[in-house]
Amino acid sequence: MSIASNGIKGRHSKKRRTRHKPHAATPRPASSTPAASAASPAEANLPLLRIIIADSEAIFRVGMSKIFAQWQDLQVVAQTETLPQTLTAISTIPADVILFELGLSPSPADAISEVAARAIPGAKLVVVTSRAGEQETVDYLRRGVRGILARSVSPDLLVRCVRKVAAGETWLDKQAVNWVIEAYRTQTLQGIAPPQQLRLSDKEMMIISGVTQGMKNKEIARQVGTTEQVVKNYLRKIYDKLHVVDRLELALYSMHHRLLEGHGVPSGEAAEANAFAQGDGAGSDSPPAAGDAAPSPPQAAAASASGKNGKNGPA
Amino acid sequence: MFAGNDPNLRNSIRFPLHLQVRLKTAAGEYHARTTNVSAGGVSFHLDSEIEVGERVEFAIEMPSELSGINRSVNVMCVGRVVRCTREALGRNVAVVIDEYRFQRN
Repeated sequence: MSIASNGIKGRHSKKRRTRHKPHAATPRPASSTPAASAASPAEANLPLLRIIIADSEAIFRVGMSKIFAQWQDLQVVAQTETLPQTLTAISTIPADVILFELGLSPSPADAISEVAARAIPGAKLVVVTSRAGEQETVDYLRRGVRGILARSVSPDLLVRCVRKVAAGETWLDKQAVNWVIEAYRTQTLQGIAPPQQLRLSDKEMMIISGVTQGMKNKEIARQVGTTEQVVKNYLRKIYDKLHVVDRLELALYSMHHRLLEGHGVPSGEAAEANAFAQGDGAGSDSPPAAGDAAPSPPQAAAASASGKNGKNGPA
Repeated sequence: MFAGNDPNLRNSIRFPLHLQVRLKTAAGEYHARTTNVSAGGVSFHLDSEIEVGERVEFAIEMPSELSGINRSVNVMCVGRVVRCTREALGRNVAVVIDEYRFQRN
């Protein structure tokens, strides 16, 4: 395996294959760690979690591996000691949790973005650091981090963190939680936080849903039970409220802020091509223009094939 | 962000969304994940070199689990490569969007 030649210890290493694990999801009998002693019958059914340890210091890699080795449901599938090795490992070896030590890069924030972007989907990123201040904590979370661990973490908390994060939870200490809440309150998310007074009506949410689904105004109007012109008016209002300029930005905003999550908005009928729009190459579209922006599906298809395009705007 | 010093090209909000991108160039088809996306352009990692100025077609997948709707939608885009810089592994590529349309799956 080419990864092995890069210094990454892969899942098929001899050591892993020959290690004896007598019972699923139970700590080794000899273990006397808090985590082991905290084992409960419920843990017998824990799913196997694959972990990549990316840490610049061998002592930490070895230490964490030994801790995880006590648990049948925790499997270290790779260990890396440099950023390039880590990027190779996370993009080729499926993992549930990546423990990424920030000392691997002189610019941790950029490294986090790179790791988050390159990781195989499904992997959750936990950063391990000796110290993360308020700004860093908020920034790391915004970049896709699911947990922040202190370098001095105890073995039982390390194991709990991995399990919680793998299960979809976020792992932060109390101080970090306060920072995140404070950041939300003071809107310090660098201009991409939702407006403080944001209130969207059910009808506006339905229209946002329609746009996010790629529906034309006519289709949205039919679904909402109104006219196309009313949908256009609503869209102008939505654009103003959310400070977005066109349908694509609205859809991205909606995804980023999970606007539609749990809202239960209905989906429209499938169509081959809809809502064709033209950007100006910069996302700084001209103000919403009156009139229908979306050509009919055949027009859109023809426009797509020929490289021509329709108008943009709330319509 | 994507187009040198032209301030007009920096008006759109960049969202740190990691979305799958299918990219078609004259040299072939590539798959990548965005590092951020705006209505004006996208940035993503690519293993291969790609020429700045090249016209590209690409599809951005908006997965249902992120969009909150029950089906994924593709945004079919036509654009131009405005930056391709070397990184520890591969390249970081920035592309502006000249045209786009939504396509439901």
